[in-house]
Order: sequence, then structure tokens, then C-alpha cells
Amino acid sequence: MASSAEDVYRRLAPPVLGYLRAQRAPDPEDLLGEVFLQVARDLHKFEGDDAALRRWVFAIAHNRLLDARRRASRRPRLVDRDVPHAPAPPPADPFDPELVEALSRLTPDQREVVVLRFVADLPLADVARITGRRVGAVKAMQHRALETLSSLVDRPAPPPPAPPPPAAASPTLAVLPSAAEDNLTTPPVS
Amino acid sequence: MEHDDQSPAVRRLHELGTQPVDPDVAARHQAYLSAATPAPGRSRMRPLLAGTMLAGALLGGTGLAAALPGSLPEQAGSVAREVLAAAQLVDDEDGDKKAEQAAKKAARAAARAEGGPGTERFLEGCTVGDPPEPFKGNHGQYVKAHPDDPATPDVNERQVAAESDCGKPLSSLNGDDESEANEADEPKDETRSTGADKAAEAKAAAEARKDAAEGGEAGRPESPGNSEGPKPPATADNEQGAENRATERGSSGDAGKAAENRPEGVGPPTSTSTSTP
Repeated sequence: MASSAEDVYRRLAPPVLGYLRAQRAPDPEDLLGEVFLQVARDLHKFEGDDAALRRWVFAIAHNRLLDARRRASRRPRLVDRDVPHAPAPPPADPFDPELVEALSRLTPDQREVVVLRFVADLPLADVARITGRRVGAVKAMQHRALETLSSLVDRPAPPPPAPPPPAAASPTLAVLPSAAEDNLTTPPVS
Repeated sequence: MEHDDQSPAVRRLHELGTQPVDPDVAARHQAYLSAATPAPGRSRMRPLLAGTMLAGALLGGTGLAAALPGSLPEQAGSVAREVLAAAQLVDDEDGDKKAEQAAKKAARAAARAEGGPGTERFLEGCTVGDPPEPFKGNHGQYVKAHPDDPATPDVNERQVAAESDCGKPLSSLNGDDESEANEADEPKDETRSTGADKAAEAKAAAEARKDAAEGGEAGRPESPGNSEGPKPPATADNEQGAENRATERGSSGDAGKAAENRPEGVGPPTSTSTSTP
């Protein structure tokens, strides 16, 4: 079934944008435009079903991301003050900053695999094809990546702090602070 | 798509891929897409490209000269026209015109390059092979088909073939400017000297007379470069011709060299020395 470029954009732009965000692309929306510009130019040459189309679009997204990273690493930045030793952290993801932060803790290969697999919703074979790996290697990476992610993202919430025990009260004696709390010594009342 | 693991991390990853694009951003992108998508069947280049490709495909055969009315037998012409029609090059009037122009240009180039059967050639009395058979082809092919036979040292068969008109387009023999039957193919006849040569000869003759009158040395060679006796006429594509030209230049010295660089009819500068072969 022939799809128009607009049609493909409506269906695949959200997962592609999610993929680019999860990968901490320098400017995900701008890159999204580049990806679909190429899709629009070459769509008339494409032949295949929906699954093949999805794979093709994400292959383009993968390559454009690599190009953008190379460009960003090569571009000299002129500043009139001292350059900090570490690059500034990218802005937090607007949707799920915790998840994206956790993804940044994975190795680049693991992140690539897990994002293509679950954000782009591609089968293992397609992920292997796009990343140029064997299916077995992709499976192993996915397993390790999910373990790490789960430990970071699926942590159980810490227990709430225990309420302080109620203080014991005597009817004949005034309540006195405990010796541990007060260094002053008070003579007992007879 | 099924997930291997339905852990919260996987669910959140999946949700990350379902978030919609900002509407303003999406609208901007959609505008780019409309501009970037090539419109099917409306490209102006397609007729030109298709015409050029067809011209190339038909080069070995009838050539697209067949598409030009009146230039070929009807049968070949109609075949070419059918092919063009079948390729559906015509989208609109402009496309048709451009395709036709491209086809004509390609056909002219093909005719010039290969001189296909569409070009009328001088073939009268031209034979090839043993036993001789009527030759049909261009001049270059005719020359190649007549190598020099060592058994006949007195005659250079290749040279004779080169000097003949066999295979040459009739239009070139009639002096048509458009053909590529150029001056190099025509034998350089000593009797057809250029104005510069004539001037050089006249000058040499005048100086000879002057020398004789003054009682100087015995005259110069009778004609520039021909003291070794008659030579076969020079042509562009034989070594003998190149030798002749070199000899002519050498013996006429500065005058000869200057003559090559001067336009016709301009006399050579005064030269007091000439080289003798």
C-alpha cells in the first residue's frame, strides 16, 4: 500500500521523536525534521510492507543521529570565557526525565538496542539489522540493559520515616526531659 | 509488538515512543514534506532523460534519425516513432518538444560519430575482402579493412584506402559544413597550396632570381622541401604525410613555420637564412 510522506509522518513521528529523545539527540525536533525530509525524498523508491517501512525510517533516524553527533563533536565553539572541563548536561526530557536519565547510565550500545526495541517498537531481527549485529548479541545487550534500567527506574520507594514513639507520662511527677536529651541535672522533687 | 518483559521500565520506554509531536513543530515539518516530495509524472527532466536514453539505446541500430521525417526509410522511421510513443514521453507540449529536440540532437551526434546506415556515403566501386565484396560502412572502417600488404611493397594499401573517398559521407564530398569529413581526411594536394605557401614560394623564387642576378650561389632548392624528389601527397593519417610536412617546414625554415601561424595571404617576413635539407 502506497503511503504518502504525510501519512508516514503521522504514524511514525512520535516513536522517532521518542527514539531521538531517549538517545539524548542534540536537537531532537530539528533532527526529526531532517529524518522525515529524507523519508519524503526517497519514499517513492521504497518498496515493502509496514514493518519494512518502520525499519527503514528508523534506520534513517539512526544514521541521522550518528551524523548529528559527529557534527556536534567536530563543531568548534567560540566562547569568551574559560571553557568548563565537562560539557553541560543536556536539558531534562520534558516527558520522563527520570527514564531518560537512567538510559544515559547505560552503555551507548545497550541504550541503542533497548530504545530501538521498546521505544521504536522494532523486533529483535530489525534491531540487529539496523545496528549491524547478530540477533544473539542484541538479545544479550537487551537483557543487560533492562537489568540496569530496572535497578535504576524500578527501585521500590523508600519506606516512610517511622513516627516517634509516644513519651511515657506519670500522674504524680512532672514530665522531665530525659537525661539523654538534657545535660542539666535536676534534683528530684520529693 | 510484544515485549519480552513487561516491567515498569519497559512500559515507560514504550510510552516514550507514543508521545505526540508538538503541533507547531508537526505543522512546520508537514510543510517541508510537501515541498520535498517529488511530484510523480510531472518532472520536466523525465522526457529529456528518457529521450536521451532511448537515443543511446538506438545508436547501434537505426538511430533516432529515423524519428526525423524523411531521413530514413519509412519502416525504420515508424519503428522509432512507435518506440517513442510507447515510452509515453509526452506529458505536455513542452515535454514533447524538448524530447524531440533531444532526440534530434542525439541522432545528429550518433550520425556524426558512427555514420550509421542513415547517412548517405560514397560507396561506388568500393570493395573489401578477397574475393572483393561491395563495402558498406564508414571511411574509417574502410581504411581499417585495407591494411598494408607486405607482399606488395610498391603499394601502400592502407594509404590508398585513406586517400579514397570510400565510406565518406556524400555531404562532405559536396562541401557540407555540418559533416565531420574534415580537411584531415582529404589528401593534401601539392597543387592546392595555400596563400601562405604561395607567398613563400614566390619569395623563394624571387630571392633565387636575385641571387642568380648577383652571381650568388647556385640556387635554392627548387621547391620547399622537395629536393628528395616527388613524394606521395600528404594526408593527415599517414606517417609519410607527417614526414613531408616536417620536411616542408624544415626546409622553408622560419618562413614555413611562420606561415603556419599566419593567416592566409599574408607574406612571410624577410628572412636572410634558410636551412637546406
